[in-house]
Amino acid sequence: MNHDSSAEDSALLERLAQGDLEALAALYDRYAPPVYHLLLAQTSDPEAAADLLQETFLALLDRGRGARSIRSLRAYLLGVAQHLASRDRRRRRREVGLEETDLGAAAPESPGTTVQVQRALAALPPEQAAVVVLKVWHDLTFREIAEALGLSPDTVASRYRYAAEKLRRLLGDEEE
Amino acid sequence: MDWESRLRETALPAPPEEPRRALLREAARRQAQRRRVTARRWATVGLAALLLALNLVVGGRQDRRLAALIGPLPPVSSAQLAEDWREQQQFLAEILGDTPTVQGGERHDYGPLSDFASSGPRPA
Repeated sequence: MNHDSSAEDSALLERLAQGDLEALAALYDRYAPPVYHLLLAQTSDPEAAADLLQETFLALLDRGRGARSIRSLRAYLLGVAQHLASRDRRRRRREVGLEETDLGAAAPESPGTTVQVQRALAALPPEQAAVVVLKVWHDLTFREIAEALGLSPDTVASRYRYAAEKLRRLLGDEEE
Repeated sequence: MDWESRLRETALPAPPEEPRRALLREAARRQAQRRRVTARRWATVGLAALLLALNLVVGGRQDRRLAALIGPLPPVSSAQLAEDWREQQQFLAEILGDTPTVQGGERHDYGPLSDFASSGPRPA
């Protein structure tokens, strides 16, 4: 994240701490896409991802004045989303008795996404899918992903490598 | 085209609109609730402060009125205090000294009361 967007985040967080809900809307518009895509990768369920997206930003709101002390807002939001998604997966496994692979296989197709890519992503373990989504679609570095998800950069790189092997098998490398 | 390029060329779905609307609605509701709670808390603190101040004013005035009624108290010496204490102890000993007590199941002689119990009711 560059210096300007970080300064803008700080200004918006300051306004949010003072109760300005327009600042919350602005922060949502800025960070909802990566957070939503992470949640989608983790849950493979657009409805659950939408609910958790709202919950993620409410967690930010509940920080109140404490929101001013957030150093990297993107890392904070992705971390909260990751935590909420893990909790949601555990809850759903308890309630339905599904395995993680079943959740992926049962995922409905998201509109606007190529079916094959959607299926390939759903076939990945959620923690690998999360890394792929943040790296490929949102151009985060391994270090940034590691910071957001509370992992070491080596773990993130390793997850990406495993995911890449699987995606190469599933999607194949086509000739131009 | 490699798998990574294929992924990049595939658009992920945009976040739906509903969570944004729901978030702003919920945020407004929580903010209003927080304001109500804060206002109630300040009202409680204000009322407590008012009661305390009132208590101090009224209490102080009563103290001064009582002091004026009683006048200056005479100084009390430690010898006088000791004498009062002795008198108090003596008085207590007088009223409590002959009272029977029950200890550890021992039998006690209750005097006239036990005489009455052993004699039983008299036949008419």
